[in-house]
Amino acid sequence: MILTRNYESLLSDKFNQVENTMNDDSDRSSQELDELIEGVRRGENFALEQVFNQYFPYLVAFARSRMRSRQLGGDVEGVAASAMRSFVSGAGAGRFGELKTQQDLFRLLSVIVLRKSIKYTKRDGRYIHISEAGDDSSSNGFFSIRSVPTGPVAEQALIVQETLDQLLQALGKNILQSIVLMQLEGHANPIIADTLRISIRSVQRHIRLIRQTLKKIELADNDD
Amino acid sequence: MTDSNDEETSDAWKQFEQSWRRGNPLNLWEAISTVSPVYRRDLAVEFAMIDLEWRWRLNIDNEPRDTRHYAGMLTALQLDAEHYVSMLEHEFIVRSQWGDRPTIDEMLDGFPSAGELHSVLETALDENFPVFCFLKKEDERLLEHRVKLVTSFGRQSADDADGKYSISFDKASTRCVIADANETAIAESHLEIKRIGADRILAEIHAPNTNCLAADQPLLPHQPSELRLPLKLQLENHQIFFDCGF
Repeated sequence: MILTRNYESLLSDKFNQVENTMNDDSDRSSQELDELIEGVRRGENFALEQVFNQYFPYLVAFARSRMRSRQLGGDVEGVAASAMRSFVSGAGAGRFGELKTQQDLFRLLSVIVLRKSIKYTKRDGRYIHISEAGDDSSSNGFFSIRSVPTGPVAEQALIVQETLDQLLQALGKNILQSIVLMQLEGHANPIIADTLRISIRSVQRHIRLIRQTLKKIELADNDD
Repeated sequence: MTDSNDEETSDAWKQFEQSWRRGNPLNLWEAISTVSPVYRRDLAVEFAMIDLEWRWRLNIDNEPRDTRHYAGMLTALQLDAEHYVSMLEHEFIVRSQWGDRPTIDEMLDGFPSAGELHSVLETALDENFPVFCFLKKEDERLLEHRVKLVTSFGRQSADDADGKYSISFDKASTRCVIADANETAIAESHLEIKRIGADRILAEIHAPNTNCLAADQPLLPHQPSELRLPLKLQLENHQIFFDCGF
């Protein structure tokens, strides 16, 4: 019954699997990441460029896979770019202090993309069925990156993205989905409770349900 | 718990929460009466916490309720120590967030077996809510960390002359080093901070010429001061904020 801390352990198994790979592949210490985020906060071009180069292709791929899985067309690069802008503006406002590893940054950016893609489809109001061959027709031409990154990091990153996506779909568009997104964005339970106008204990109860759902997804994955 | 039990508990929970959101809260005993007797005790404790929280959040009582009130109210259910700790921990979070931010001693004053509960509660809070701190300089927010114990603030390397700061971590204590752009080496720590309770830290100035203020009162060198969270320290032209990381 004792309160447990924010359920940052949600998805932790999957993320931990990814962490080693990502850290091995391009080890970024907490200090280096602090410097990078600091650079973004200060609007330093070098840091912005570095974040853009390293993460933008993943975000485009993620936005594309998410929108494709829902049979939605749209400006995937626009969604990824919008997520990147939100990140830069959030960092400039002093948020994201909890980022310690490259994995944390990746997770945060993925969540922002998820939010953006949800908002995009809601705002756009048009559900465009896309053909397998024609998905790039939605590109605004501003960004030329079309290739999905490859290699172990990309593969592991995709696992995280898919698990997140599966989880959100399983939860449906309800309060549980909002809680997952807010938790992954690093909001504390009292803030979530305040925002959603529910009690902290209810937030914690919902988190337990989310964990159960995640466990079921993982079990189903293992059965496959 | 079977599915049907789970469902009736969920329904009761939903109704109780909604009654608060609608501004017409259900009576706690009525709210638990719909579930099987075997689950009523745990649910009553949960509802007591929800009841307490909304009363503080909405500021609707002349005499806001505390764990002591609910302990008295639920005596017949023969709660155990774990229930009390859960409720106390919740009360501490709620009152810190939306209320008067009591000390743990104040919360436990007059509580049966307060000494025992004190140490269990401190441990639980320390474990679940690590100290949160961030550093500001002239209104620019430099760093923010939420860690169990924060140790040193300082430049990352001796040749980093343009004033970048870092915080690293140590489980034993918090050493605080502020270097300015004129210094070429990491200085000895100006300040050492230890968490000595869920809501208290001990601060000690090391460098004799360091100007450090806590609530506008200067901290004197080599004289440890016990300070309460949340805390804002002014160290030279930097501000360091400490709080429980709820």
